[in-house]
Amino acid sequence: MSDLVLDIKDLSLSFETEGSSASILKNVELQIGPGEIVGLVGESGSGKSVTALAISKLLPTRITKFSSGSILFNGIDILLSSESEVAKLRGKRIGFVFQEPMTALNPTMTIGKQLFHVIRRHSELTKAEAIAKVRFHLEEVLIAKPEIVENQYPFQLSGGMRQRVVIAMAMAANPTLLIADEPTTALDVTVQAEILNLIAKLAKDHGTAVLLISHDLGVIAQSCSRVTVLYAGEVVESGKVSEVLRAPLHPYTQALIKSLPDIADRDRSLETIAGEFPDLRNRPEGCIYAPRCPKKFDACDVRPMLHIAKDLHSVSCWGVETVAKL
Amino acid sequence: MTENILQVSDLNKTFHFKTKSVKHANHAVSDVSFDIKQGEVFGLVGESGSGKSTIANLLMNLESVDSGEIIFNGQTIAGADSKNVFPYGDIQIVFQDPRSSLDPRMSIRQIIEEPLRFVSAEKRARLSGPDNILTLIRAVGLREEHLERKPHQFSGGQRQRVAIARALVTRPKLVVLDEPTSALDISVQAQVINLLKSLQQEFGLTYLFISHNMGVVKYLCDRIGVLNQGKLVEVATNDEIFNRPTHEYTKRLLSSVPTMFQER
Repeated sequence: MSDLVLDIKDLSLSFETEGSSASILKNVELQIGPGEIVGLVGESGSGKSVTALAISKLLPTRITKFSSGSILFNGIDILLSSESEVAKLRGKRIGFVFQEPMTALNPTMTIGKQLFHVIRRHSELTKAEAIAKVRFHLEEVLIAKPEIVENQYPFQLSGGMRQRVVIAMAMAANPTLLIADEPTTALDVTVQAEILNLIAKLAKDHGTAVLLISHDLGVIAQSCSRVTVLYAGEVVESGKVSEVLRAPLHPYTQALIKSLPDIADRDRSLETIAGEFPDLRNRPEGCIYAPRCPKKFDACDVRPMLHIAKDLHSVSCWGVETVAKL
Repeated sequence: MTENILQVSDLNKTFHFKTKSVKHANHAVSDVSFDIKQGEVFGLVGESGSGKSTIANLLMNLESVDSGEIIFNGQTIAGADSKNVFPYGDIQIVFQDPRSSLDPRMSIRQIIEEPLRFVSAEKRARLSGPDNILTLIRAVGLREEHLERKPHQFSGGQRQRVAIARALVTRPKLVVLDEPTSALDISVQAQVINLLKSLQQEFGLTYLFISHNMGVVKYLCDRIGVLNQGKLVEVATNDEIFNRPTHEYTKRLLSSVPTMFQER
C-alpha cells in the first residue's frame, strides 16, 4: 500500500470526434505525496489542464477515450469509479483553484454566503456552526478584515483577494489534494508572491498534496519540490526542481530555459526552439521532440520511454544514459 | 547629442465614474513626465492599474489628456498647445493579444495595409506598393503566400508577427508595444523578442515597451520607468533599475518576481 495521494500511471487519452482523433496525453506519469507541492509545467497544448481535469473526471465523456493507464487517488482508481463516486470526491477530497477567480465565484452572492454553502455541502455542521466557520476560513487565508469581506460581493474585491476567497473555499472541506491550475497567472507579481506563499503554508499546515500547474518556470522554481515537464502530452522530464530546472537533461527543457530572457546576454539573440508544435492528430512515430531537436540521432526514430537518469530524476531521451528502467 | 523623439510632461488623466450615485475619481495617470530618445528602447513597467496602458492610450490619441503635454518629434500632439493634428502613421502600436487585435474577416494583406489609409497621399503612394508589403511580411518571418490568408489560420506567435508588420507599414518613428509577448508561450515569446530586436536595428526604430514581465524588460530596454498607482516613481537606466534601484516600490517589485535563478 503506497502512501501517495495521487498516483498517475501510464495515462494515455485521446479526444475522438467524428472522423478525427487527437492523442492528447501519452503514457503520463505523476506522483504526489501528502504535503508535497508538485509542479506541472508546459506550454499551451502540452496537456497540463487536461491532466488536471482527468484526475477529477471532468473531461467531456462523449469525446474522451482513455486508452491506457490508471489514476489512483488515495488508492481509489478514478477511471474505474462511477460518476457519482467521483462527484463525492470533487470539492471535498479534491479541491480546485483556477486561473481567473472572478469566473470561479458567483457574482450575485456575498463571499460569506458562498463560503457558507461550501461548508454546508461538505460537512455535517449545523447552519449556525457553518456561519461561525465562515470567518475562520477567511482568516486562514490571511484576509485581514473577514467581518467586512464576508458581506462583500466578488466585484468589490481585488484579484488577489478574490483568489484568497477561492482558496478558502477550496480548502474549507480540508481536501487531501489541491489542484491549482495557473492560480496566479491573472495576478500581479507582488500579489502572486503572497498567493504562492499562502498555498505553501496551507499545504504544510494541512498536509495537503498540491498539484501546481503553471507555464511560469519561476513560479514552479519558487513553490515546488518536484516538477514534471510536459511536451505535447508526454512527460519529457521529471524530478526535483533543483535538478530539473538547474541541470535539465532533456533537450526540450534545456531549450525552454534558454529561451527565457531573464539572464540572457543583451547583446545576443535569445535561443529559440526551431520548428513547430506537433500535430496531435498525427503524432510522430519516434521521439515527440525529435523533429525540433538539435541533438537528434538515429535512435530517435524509436520513441524513448521515461527512464531514470539519476536518483529520482527521469527523462525520456535516448541521448541521456539510463541508470535503471522506471 | 541624441534627440528626444518624445517628451511627456506632467501628464494627468482621471477617470470619473459613478456607482449607486456616488461619484468616484480614479487618478489613472498623475504628473507623469519622461522622454524617449531617438533609437532607444524605453520600458514602462508596473502592475495592473498602475497606468501603463492609459499612458499608451494617451500617446495614441485614444484618450484625451486632462493636463500636461506630449511633444512628439518637435510637435505638440496633446495638451493645451496641440493643434489637434495627430501624426497618424508616425506613432504605431502593437497590442497584447493578437487574437483580438486582428480583424478576423480581413486577409493578412488587408490588415497590414490598413494603417496606410491614415497617412498622407504622398506617403501612401510610396508605401502601398507590393515591395513594401513583401519586405515587411518577410522581415517579420512570414511568407508571401501568407498574405492572402485570414488570421484564424495562424498561431498566436504568427498573429503577433502580423500585428508587428501592420505597425511598421507606415515606417513609424515610434512604436508603442503594449505587453506584446504576454499572451505568448515562452518559446514563442523568445522568437517575437528576437524579431523586435532585429527589426529595431533594421528599421532604426524607437520603442516604448510596456510590460509587467521584468525579465523581458531587462533584456530589451535601455532605460526604464517604474509606475505605481499612476505615478512614475523611478526612471533610470537598465543597469541602475536592476542593480541599484533607489525607490522602495522598485525594490519590492523586483524582489516579488519569482525566478529560477536564485536560491529559495
